[in-house]
Amino acid sequence: MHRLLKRQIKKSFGVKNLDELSPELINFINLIGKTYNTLDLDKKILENTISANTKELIELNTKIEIEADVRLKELIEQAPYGFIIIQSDGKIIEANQFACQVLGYSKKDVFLNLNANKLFEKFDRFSFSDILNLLSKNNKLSFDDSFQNKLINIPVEITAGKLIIKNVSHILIMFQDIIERVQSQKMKAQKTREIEELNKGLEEKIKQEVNKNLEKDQLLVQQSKMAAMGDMMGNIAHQWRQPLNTLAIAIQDVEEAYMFDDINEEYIQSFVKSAMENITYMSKTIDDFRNFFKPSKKKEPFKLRDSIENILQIISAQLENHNIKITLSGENYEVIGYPNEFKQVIINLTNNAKDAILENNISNGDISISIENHSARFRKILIKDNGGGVPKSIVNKIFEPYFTTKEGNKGTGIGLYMSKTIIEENMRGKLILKNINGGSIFMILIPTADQQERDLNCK
Amino acid sequence: MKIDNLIWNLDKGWQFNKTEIENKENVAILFIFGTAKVMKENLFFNDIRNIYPNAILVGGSSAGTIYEDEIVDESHIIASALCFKKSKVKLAIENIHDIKDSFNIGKRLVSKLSADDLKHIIVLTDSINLNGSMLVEGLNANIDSEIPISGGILGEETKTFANAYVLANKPAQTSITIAIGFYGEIESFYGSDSGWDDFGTERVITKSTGNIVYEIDGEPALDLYKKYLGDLADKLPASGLRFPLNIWNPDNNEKPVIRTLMAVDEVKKSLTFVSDVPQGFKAKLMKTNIDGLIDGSERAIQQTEFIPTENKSAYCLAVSCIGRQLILDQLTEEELVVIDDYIGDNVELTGFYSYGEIAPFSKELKNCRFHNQTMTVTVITEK
Repeated sequence: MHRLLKRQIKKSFGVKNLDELSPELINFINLIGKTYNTLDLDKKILENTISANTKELIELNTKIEIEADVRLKELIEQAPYGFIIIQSDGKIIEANQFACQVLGYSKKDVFLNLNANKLFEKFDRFSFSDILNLLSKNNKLSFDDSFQNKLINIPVEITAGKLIIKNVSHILIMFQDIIERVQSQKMKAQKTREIEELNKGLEEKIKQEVNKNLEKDQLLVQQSKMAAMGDMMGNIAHQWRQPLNTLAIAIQDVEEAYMFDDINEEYIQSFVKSAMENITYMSKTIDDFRNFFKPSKKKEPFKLRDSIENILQIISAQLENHNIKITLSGENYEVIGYPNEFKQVIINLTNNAKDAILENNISNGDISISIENHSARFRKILIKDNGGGVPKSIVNKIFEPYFTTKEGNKGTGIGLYMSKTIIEENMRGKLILKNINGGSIFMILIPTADQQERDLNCK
Repeated sequence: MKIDNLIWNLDKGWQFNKTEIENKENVAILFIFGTAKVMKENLFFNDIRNIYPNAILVGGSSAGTIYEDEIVDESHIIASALCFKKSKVKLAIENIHDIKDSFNIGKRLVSKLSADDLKHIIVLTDSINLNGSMLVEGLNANIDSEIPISGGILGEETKTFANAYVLANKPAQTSITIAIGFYGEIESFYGSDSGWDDFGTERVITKSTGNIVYEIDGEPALDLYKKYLGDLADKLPASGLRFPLNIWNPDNNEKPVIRTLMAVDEVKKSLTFVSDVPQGFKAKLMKTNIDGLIDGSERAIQQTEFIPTENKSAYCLAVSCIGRQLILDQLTEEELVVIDDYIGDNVELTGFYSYGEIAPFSKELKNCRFHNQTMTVTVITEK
């Protein structure tokens, strides 16, 4: 029995010798003693087992560590990064294959013959003592550097850190070749420069194209005016035919009157009066023509009915000649805009109606213009004709520039385009074409003076 | 044709904005629109019935009530009374019980209105338990394609696709569809345009049932939507209203229709649209901006080919999608201004922001279609 147990039993029962106790109790105590011994053994076995297991575990761990170390070494050895471990005195104790190759040494050379101070002479930026110095203040450094290898300058990214091996401080240098990155950065910079240059070129090109477009627009305006002028010349010819005829007859009559000795003061006065009336009428036609072609410099108030009547005076003779009736109804509303440009639109639209009537051989051509109060914001001009309407296939194209259905060189394809531009862009109104039974209708909305003011305030 | 225009609120009752009609007993029909709240309270009804004792009263609730170029305050109701010289109107009503009955509701409505001198039909409806696409198919199935049908699904101010109230000669109620037939010397003009553009690759609806899309190009529909929506996917389904789907049947030449996203199911990764998106259809996501929507609105009114004249009154019903309102936000009225500018003072413009629009595609394709995200206008006048 274990001594400690015997002593405890004697003390507990107040005896000097266990024999003093009863035999039953002695048996019982012996049983406890055996159990105690068994437990003690079990304890020892357990301790041993634990110890063995621990030892095994340690061995296993060591094995694993060794294997891991081998694997790690292999990994490090084969990694596409440079690893160098240097003692603080500059002795290189380890370097992987990549580091040796990139730095231009066999592994043995690096190990045995090279000091870190010597190695870092190859680098452009820091010496080894610089790195030691910097690492005394920071645990880790990262920087880009480059070194010379057989006339080639290789850019690298370097990370340096402290490494404790067997309680001794070492320096770990890791680096990677960043030649591709540097090249791609250079290429990117190059591309950026190229794009910038291209952009500059593009800006210039856009400017040139915008200018070309402006020139085109101006040419369009000019062409449109010239086309309108051609029409106007036709109208003037019609307007002048009658007074010229009257003048010719009067002049022929002078010759006859002289032969028959009819020329007296009364004859002369009558001749002069009639001739002057005709000349005045012709002169007024020219004035109307000239005013029409004077471009409006700025927006100004003008009366819709007056403007349209002014145009009708010029064009009605030609329309009558084609047996086309034209009527005007509605109030003389005042609007603000470009009066001469507006007149040009009315000429374009009535010409369009006239051409449709003539092309479709409509015997009783009819163009009606009505001026209406559309809303508080707009006045409306409706120009309706019985010229057969616009074919559905082209109804969405007729306001496009250079779009014409007129044969030969009768149409320029810019009249309706210019009209839409004048009404919608210059005068902030609307110009819409719709087909109706047997013809078409143009709806022009012109902002009222109040609306113009609101538009200006909104700008 | 002559028109009265009135506005109502609780304080002032009915007030006339415009009164052309001398004998109110001759008024044929009133179009009345306001929010679901005021429609439901029904405090306006008896007074308007007393003013126009013989008129058919139709209309309903809206997600924004249009009057001229404005959206009126939510406490107001707008009414336009139409009095014809020679023309007539007729009202047909169908109760909505079961979504499967949608097609037959359309068919029955049209058959109730059929007549030789029928010129136009306007349809207004609640959308709960109703499939808009099937309703429209039913409408088309039973009618001469020369008769245009337009209108829309009434909205409500919470904009949550809840029940809308429909007015049909008695206090407004939910779960009904109504159709109004116009006969005789009526001239109608209509136009519909969205102002949305599709973007991205052409896709195929690979799995769908009714208005629920489970897969697009074999991928869960919600995943695809999220991938494409990027940051905006966090705000689904609300952000989905900004990105509807353009769908078309690859087997025929019909124009694509737009479908608005209504709800998403994160578990089933499905998308629920306002109306049917059939399996096998092709699809593209869509986007827009404010200018695009306003231009679309202008194109819609120009499509009508209606020329307003001083001596002819007309009524213009504008039905615009709630999705447009959400994008246009405080500029919503700009899409009404372009319409009002076009039609002028002689045409009375009212309408509502909707959960879906009904209109033919064009003069050539007269069969009506169920649209989303459009501005749809109908102009009614008399020869």
